[in-house]
Amino acid sequence: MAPILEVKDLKKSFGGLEVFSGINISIEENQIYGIIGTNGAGKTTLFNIICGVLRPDCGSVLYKGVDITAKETHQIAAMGIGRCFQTVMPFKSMTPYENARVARAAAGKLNQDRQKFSLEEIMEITNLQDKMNIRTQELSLPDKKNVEIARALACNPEVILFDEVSCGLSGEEIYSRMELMRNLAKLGITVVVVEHIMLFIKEICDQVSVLHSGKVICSGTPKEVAEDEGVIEAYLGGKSNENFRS
Amino acid sequence: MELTGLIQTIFGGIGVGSIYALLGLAFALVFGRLKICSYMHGDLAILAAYMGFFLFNTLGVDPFLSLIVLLPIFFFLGYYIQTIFMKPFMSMEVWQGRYQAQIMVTWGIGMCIMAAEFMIWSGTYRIISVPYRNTTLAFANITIPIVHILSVASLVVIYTVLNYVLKKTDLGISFRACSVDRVTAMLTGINYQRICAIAFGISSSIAVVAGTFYALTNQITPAIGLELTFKGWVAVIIGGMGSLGGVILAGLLVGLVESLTSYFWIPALKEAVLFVGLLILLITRPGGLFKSR
Amino acid sequence: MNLKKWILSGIFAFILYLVFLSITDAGFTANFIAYICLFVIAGQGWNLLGGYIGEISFGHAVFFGIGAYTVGLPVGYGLDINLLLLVFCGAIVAGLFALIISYPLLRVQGFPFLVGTYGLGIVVKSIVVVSPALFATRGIFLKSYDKEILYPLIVAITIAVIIFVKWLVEQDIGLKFKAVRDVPVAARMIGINIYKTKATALVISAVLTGLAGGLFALYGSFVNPSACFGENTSIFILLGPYIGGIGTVLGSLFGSTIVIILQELARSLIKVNGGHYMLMGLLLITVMMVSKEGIYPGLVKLMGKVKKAGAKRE
Repeated sequence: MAPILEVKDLKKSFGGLEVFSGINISIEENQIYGIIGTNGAGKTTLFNIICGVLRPDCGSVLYKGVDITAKETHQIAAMGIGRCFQTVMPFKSMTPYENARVARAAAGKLNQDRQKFSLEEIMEITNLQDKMNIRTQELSLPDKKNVEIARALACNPEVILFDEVSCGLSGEEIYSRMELMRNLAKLGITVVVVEHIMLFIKEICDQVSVLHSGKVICSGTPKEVAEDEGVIEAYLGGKSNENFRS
Repeated sequence: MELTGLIQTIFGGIGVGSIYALLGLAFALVFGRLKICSYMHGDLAILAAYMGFFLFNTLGVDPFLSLIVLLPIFFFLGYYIQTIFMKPFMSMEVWQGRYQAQIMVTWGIGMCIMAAEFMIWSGTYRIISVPYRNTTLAFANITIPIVHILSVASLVVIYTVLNYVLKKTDLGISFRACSVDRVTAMLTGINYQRICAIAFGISSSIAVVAGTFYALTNQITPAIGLELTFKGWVAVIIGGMGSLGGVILAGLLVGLVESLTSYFWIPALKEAVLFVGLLILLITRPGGLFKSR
Repeated sequence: MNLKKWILSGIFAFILYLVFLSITDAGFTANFIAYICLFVIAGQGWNLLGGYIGEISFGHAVFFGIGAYTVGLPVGYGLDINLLLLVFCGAIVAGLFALIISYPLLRVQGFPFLVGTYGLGIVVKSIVVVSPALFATRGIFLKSYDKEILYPLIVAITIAVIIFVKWLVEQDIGLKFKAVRDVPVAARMIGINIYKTKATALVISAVLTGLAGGLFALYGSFVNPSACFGENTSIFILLGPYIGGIGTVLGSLFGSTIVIILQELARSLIKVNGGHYMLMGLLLITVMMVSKEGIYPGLVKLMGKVKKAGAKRE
């Protein structure tokens, strides 16, 4: 099966700082794909390049075999790539429902044939049905994160990118999100997660790539990655991999 | 003869441009570094011009001597305007409408200043008739007003002093720290609000210099304030949003465009040509002509 | 549901106005109300761009003037065309002009946009002032339109515009406006074409402002550069929504009304030079210092607080 999202030989540097020196990642359909890496490894930059916010110096991003590297962000969104940010950015003057509605009106209209949920269902999935009519500004952080997920879902995406969703959430909330991601994958949406928390990755991902100093140093199932010498060296400073196994 | 006229016009343009450059410098100092948008410096400049006019007419004080009094007065005026009126907006982020709020407040203050000028000095055109107003230096066939030479010189002096202060002194270093990151600067123990207030005071003082030179070369009326504000901002935009050197070049360019238009075409269209140029620039180089970084 | 309420209250307001008009005989008050209505229309137009997109324009007088001159110019050249038809033409011409000018203007945002629009105002005004073909500074006199028809018409159009704007901002396109204002990056990420959205807002805004300008030409029976293209016109269009509550329909309605009333009061009561500028400046400072979002949202917030306090006491 051809990969749905493919990153080929990507290079990017900011001034003198080289973030990527040629990385290759290919993501199969219906997977939950994890990308891990230390701080500053370029996880968010990778997402930004996929979404077209940043342009790579060299290399390409393929979505369903089509080169989207040079496309505008809104075109990419309309093709079916949704995204949640690490720092939450809901449209603060609107209610959660309106947040989803505007996304449906913008990108969702263009890929209606892929629609899996109605807006009401999205509200239910993301646990927002009680807060549908409160301005997002007044919601708590976990709810704002839910709004972001709802907004991304409303675009009718085929691939959805999660940028550190667990950041700032309690254990219980993280579990509910893991559950959500599994459900999405079951429904045929490819999920790409960037995470710090190993448990999270290990628990839900089918495939994992490890980014380190501008390169993908290892790819494979979580188990393979956890036992890879290079990863242990890079990620845990060569000590032990207790964190991985716990 | 044609050539002489052209050269004359160019020098005149540089002289006028130096005033815009001074105003632009005042804006760029607070906007480029501290993200404070001011809409009142044109009005401050005209207020200073009126004060110079008042001191000259009643007490016979030379406008340059009155600068000694006016500079500290306007420094504190700016300082307290910043601490009283602008403080609530300093903790806002740009996307929360920080600039809009600042623009509206400073514009309101500027309007009040303009109204006060109207009340005290009425709307008639005033002139500071110092003896050296029409004195010129002559090189060959070209005559340059001495006031223009002085304003260019003061521009150079102010730029040098500002650069020195920003690069070498403790104040300048904490100022730059604030411009990089507000929160971090506060965490290192820098009084952010005070630095902002001082910067605003300094920029108000620069506006005083601009206003004095404007009064020495033009007739003044309260309504000119907003116009001057916009010209200064045009210089800031052309100069690349906040780089001090770029603003000076851009200010001189603004003056040149104006005087060349008056020379070659209809004087009433000089502002129109300027803003058409600005619009073209915005299409071709949205980042400004002399973008730094 | 909500829309129905709006239409009903609109019709009610209109009937009230007709009754009022029949009592006062199209006199000063009716004249004044019509004048306020013109700026309410223009303010609603401005608010679409300034409030919902968040790009402050200092040059809406351009669209206002284009609307007015589209009505005035054919009359000046002696053409006999239905004036009301010309008003709507004016609105469309203003919209077309906005469409063209959006290309350079919308490449920048925030501060340069503000200065650019101000510059646009200066450019257009200077061009009108120096070109004899546009009657330069002399202006054009129109034959006066029947006030008994014109005033109710202006009020009716105002109500229609308010209902239209209220309806528009609740549609998907209105939500898109807000999305672009709130988080541009995220708006792009959900597939909104920012340039297109902003251009749409600019064009609708220009159409409404042009409509106000055309009606202004009928109302005053006179167009000249300083009344139509002057900076003061831009400023009054802008101040209303800003003081009343940027980004709210009702707020900018209140704001425009308050600004025009205060302005006229100050002109007739305060005999000192520049008194009305002082009043405007103080009003602007006070509103910004007390409630950053303007009078109407401030009041709503205050009501909420009072309600909460009352609930606590119980």
